[in-house]
Parts: sequence; C-alpha cells; structure tokens
Amino acid sequence: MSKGNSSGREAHLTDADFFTLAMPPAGEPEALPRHLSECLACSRQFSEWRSATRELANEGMDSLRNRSAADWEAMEERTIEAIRRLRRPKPRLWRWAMAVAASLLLFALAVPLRHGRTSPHAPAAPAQTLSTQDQADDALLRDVARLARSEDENSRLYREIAPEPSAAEEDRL
Amino acid sequence: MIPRETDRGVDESRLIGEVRAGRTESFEYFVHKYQRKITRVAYRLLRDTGEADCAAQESFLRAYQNLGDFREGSTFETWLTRICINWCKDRLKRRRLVLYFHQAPPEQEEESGPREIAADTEPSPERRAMSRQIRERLRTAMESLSPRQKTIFVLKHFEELSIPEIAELTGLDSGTIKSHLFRAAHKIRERLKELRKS
Repeated sequence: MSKGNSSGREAHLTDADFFTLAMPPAGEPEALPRHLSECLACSRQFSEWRSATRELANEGMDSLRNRSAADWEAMEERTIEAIRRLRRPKPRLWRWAMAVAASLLLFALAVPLRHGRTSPHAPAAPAQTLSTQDQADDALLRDVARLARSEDENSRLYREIAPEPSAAEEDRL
Repeated sequence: MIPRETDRGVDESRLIGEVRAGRTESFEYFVHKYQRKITRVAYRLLRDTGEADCAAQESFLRAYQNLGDFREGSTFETWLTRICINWCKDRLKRRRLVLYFHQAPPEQEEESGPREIAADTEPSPERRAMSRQIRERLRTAMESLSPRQKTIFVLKHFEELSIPEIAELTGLDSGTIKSHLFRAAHKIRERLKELRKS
C-alpha cells in the first residue's frame, strides 16, 4: 500500500493498491487500510474498482447465459454428431481404393501362378526358352499345386518331393 | 438405455466402461451433462463465444479419443476440464489474446463506511465511464501475464476454485499455483503503475 505523505496523512491509494484489495493474490481478503474508511475519494474509487472487476467477470457471459435450451441442445447434438463421425467406418472412397488395391494385388499374384502351372493338356513349354532356375521354380510350383489339389495323394507326393533317407544317410545324420 | 444427465446416482465409471467396450452411445450422457460447464470454463479463458464452443467440442472429442488414458482416480469432470484448459492454453499461446480476469470480492467483505454511499447509487454516466476506464487498464495490465499465469488466475479469481482444485486441474502442485498467483498479481500491479505514470 502507499505510505503516508510528508504531512503525516496517508497518501491516496493507487490502482495497484485497489487491484490488490479487489483481487488478493492468495484469494484471502486483504486487510483494508484505515485510509479507506477516512478518505471518501479512495473509498469511492475502491467501490468503482470492485464493481468494474465484477462487470469484467460477467462481460460477455450473457451470451452464454441467454442461450436457450434449444440452442444448448443443438450444440450438444453437434458434439455428439462429431463423435459419431469419429466412430464411423472410413469413407467409401477409401474403401473402394482398398478394394481395388486388393484386387490388383491378387491379380498380380495369380498371373505368375497360372503361367507357372503346367496343365496336362497344355503343350509343354520349350525347355530351351527357360533357364534351369526357372524350370526348378516351375517344378516347385507344380508340386505345390498338386499338393493343394489332392489330399489323397499327399503321402505319395511327399515321398516324391522328399524321399525317405536311405539307411546309410540316416547313419550319417 | 442411456441415462439422462439429470438422473441421480449415475455410475459414470460404468458408462466409461461401456464406451470403452464399444457402446459409444453411452458417451452422449457426458456431453449432455458437461457441455455447458465446459463451454463456460472455455469462455472464461478465451473470451470468445465461438472459440469457447469450439473448445468444448474439441475437449469432448479428445476425451472420447483418449478415453483409454482416463484413470479411475479422477472424476470424468475433472479430467474433461483439464483437457479443456490445456486446449485453451494452447489456443492462448497461439493468439496471445488479452484476457479479462477478476474476482468479485466475497460478500462478507462488505463493510459499513463511506464506500456504501457510492455503491448504493445507480451508476451515473460518469461512474460508468470510470468503470470502463478501470476495466480497460486491467485488461491492458493482464496482457503481461503468460498463458499459464492467466489460466491459473482465471481459475482462482474467476472460477473461484480452490488452490488444490487448480492443482488437480493443471497437474501442478499447490506451491507452484500460489507462486504463479503471486507473480501474476505482481506483474499486474507493476503494469498498473506504469499505466498510471504514462
């Protein structure tokens, strides 16, 4: 607070003083200076500060207070709608893109398999056009296809693909 | 059936469990119950109706999306308010808006004396002008506060929350809250002195 002046009488309070009195930092009311009860000008000023801060607090709040119940419900519905949008599935465009990409991927995988499979009715590919590695790959794909086609032949196929080791090999292993 | 926000004894933990389990409709209860309060808190901080509405909606969306982070130790209301305050603080940091804070003095502070003479009268144009000037000076002085100081100041003097409540909302300890309050008040006082001189 402002200290007393040279004449022995306390000086008038300043804005900083009024602010401290109106809005004490810790929330506890400050002890009111004696000057306030003696000086009508400061007392009036303090009163103005209090009402001004009160008005300041309520400034603009009327726009919320005056909102009708219907307005609030509309706001709440807007929020709920936004939340609903969050949980909805991805947009259709995205789903279509995913479907197209999946189809393309399947097609890309299926084409080499179809070309690699040797149909019993199809003429054999000329051996000279395929490298040894390609032929080995083709044979492997054929075996895989045969395995997939027939479960009854499994045991025979397994033996063909991976013949039982001979006794000598077993001993060696 | 989703309970109404006016229903008493609603087990909010159970509703949160339902939302987590995929029954999103249960979240509507929280929107109906807290949207007004959250909007009001946001308005106190942002001083803009449109932005306060936006802040409230964003707070609910964030709460919904991060419901897995919600801990049972706190209430949903506290958690939601914290989300809203953080959103507003971010907003304030970006736009550095002037905020208005104040605390209406408690009624028991009313004392007999010369003050009442002025307080009892209808505000004259002169008094209204004076009030406007005071508010203007306060607004200007409060520009010097950081977003965090402003937030704490508003919660204390405007929302009239206790220091422990502010601590829970902001995640700071009580000592830090008090320190911010003192620093904020000091800054405002210094700024008011400068304004007076100028």
